Amino acid sequence: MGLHPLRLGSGCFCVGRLSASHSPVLMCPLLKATMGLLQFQAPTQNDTMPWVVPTTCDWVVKFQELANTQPEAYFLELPHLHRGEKGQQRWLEEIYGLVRLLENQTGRKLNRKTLLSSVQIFMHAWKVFGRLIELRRKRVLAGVWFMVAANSFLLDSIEIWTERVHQMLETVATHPPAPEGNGVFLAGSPIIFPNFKLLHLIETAGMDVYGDDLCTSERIWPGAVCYEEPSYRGIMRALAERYHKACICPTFADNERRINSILNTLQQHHIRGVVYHVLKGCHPFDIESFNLEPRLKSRGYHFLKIETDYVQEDSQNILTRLEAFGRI
Amino acid sequence: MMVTKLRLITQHVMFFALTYGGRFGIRFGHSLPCFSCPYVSGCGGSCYLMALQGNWWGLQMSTTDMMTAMGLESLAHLGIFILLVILLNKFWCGWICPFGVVQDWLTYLRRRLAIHEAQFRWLTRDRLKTVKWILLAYLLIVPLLIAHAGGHYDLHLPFCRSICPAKPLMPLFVGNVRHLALDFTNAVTLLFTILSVTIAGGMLVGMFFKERFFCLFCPMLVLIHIFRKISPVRFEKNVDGCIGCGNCQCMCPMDIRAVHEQKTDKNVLSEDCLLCMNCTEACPGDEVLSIRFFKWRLFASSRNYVARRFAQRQRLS
Repeated sequence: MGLHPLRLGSGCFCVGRLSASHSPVLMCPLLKATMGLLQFQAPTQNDTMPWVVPTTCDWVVKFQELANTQPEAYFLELPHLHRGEKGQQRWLEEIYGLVRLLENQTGRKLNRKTLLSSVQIFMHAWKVFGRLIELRRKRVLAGVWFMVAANSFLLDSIEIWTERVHQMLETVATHPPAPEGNGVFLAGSPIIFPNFKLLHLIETAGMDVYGDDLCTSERIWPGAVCYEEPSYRGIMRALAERYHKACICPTFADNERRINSILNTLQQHHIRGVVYHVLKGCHPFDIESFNLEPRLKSRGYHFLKIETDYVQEDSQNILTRLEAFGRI
Repeated sequence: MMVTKLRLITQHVMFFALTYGGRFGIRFGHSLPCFSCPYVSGCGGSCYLMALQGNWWGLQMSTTDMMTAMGLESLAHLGIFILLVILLNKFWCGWICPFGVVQDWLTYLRRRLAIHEAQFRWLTRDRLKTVKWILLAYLLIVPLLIAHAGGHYDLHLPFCRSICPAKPLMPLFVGNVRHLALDFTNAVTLLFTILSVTIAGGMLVGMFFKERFFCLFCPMLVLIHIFRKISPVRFEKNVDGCIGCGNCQCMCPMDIRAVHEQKTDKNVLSEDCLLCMNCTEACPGDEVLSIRFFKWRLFASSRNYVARRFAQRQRLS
């Protein structure tokens, strides 16, 4: 349709302060920062494209009310049960609703050919991203730099992003791997540019992130869209299912496969420790940590939960805990 | 070579061997666990369901005949059938069955025309599973009734003559249209031929709009499934490695959910599975799904394979 999505969401502490006076104290810092950013850089009259907001958590549901954005947010109602037929059908209907909205906005019709071409573009990006993950696992690419590349996803056209990441791969692939050290796995709430506090602290504590489970990093998309039916409805269905059923965000009620994904990476890449990041106010991830911790520990993995937000004041405290964790 | 291509080649070679093979001296016998229809003149082998229902080597045989050489022959046919089923199990359905190939052609045609596949509700799909058991019971009980309870002889070969769509459709490939005609000999034959032609017509439409539509009702699938536990063919899932992306369900021609939903048992060869391996090809988890033959791994899923295969497919699209 000639559109490309731009990701909302900010990790900037400074702009977060702008919205502090008119938002709850314990609000998710990510949304607080996004609200502040919208105040700081208010959309102009020409910005007519809607904010598309999937209702992943309570904060997101209340986002429009708190931020009072113009044009109004378009909510994609996310069914929180994604293994059943009903949830999948409802999500597909939501996606069709979104298509109608975009068609009305642009005056263009979405067709099978353009859909296929987009699927192809994303498939290429997925392949390139897969190679990036491999380099990180081989310790050729440091965790922070990997996060920078992943965080730039959906800040510009996907084709440009793919090309840039590919160029980066060409350069980095020739580098020797870093000596084997204390590799950890990072799970939990999203970490968004420029708030790489936790990553910096992990590296300062003498560890490196070999893998992660963050929706702003390795989980930016759940994989390639595979379809058997090349008709318009067939591809739409495959697309909707892929991004709903395959998502392992803790916002889903039937999300037991998330532990598999984490355990699998830990096992395959011989990572022994998990640092679990909880953004203050991010309840789904906080709740899930209570399920994850005993299951990981029962299999002999070390687990450290860090609850923080975008402030810098707790850095020394976190660093001390990370250093102690690294020594284990 | 991509598994899909290999399967397509195997399917077509087997279609020609089983449909026209007899004309070139190929004869695989009467015990094949696939719909190689004996009504096709010059076929290269016959579906065992006919032998099973018949009075020569099957259930319609009288008790006296059972004590003769015919009884031993029927046991030999049954033995060969079981051996073939054990050896290749569901590969017969996904890779060899000529009627399966015909269904795949119709699906190919529908996809070329970009017509969307018909979808069943999950509940409907689950309920349909019982139909093939009913058909199996029908083809087993009626011959026994004829042989031992005085059933009318015109009821013989009940499944082939009244239900199986391969009987009127497969002979068309050798230019034989006789099986589309109604038989007015008596009420039973008329009823059987009306049923046969109507079901074949309905199936043709169904097979066009739904991939492998007939396989949803195929009693052979059940017979093959019975021997899955002693077969060296294994379809396994590393349940701990599955992230639940659902590609297996999305790609399955039979809409099987069991592979996706299985969380404990590694054996995921379900009743409706055709071993077409579409799911294994589409699974992005490294070695999460695998097909084994004895201790050898024939094929296992991998992220790189998915990337290669689907990038290719999309170029073709």
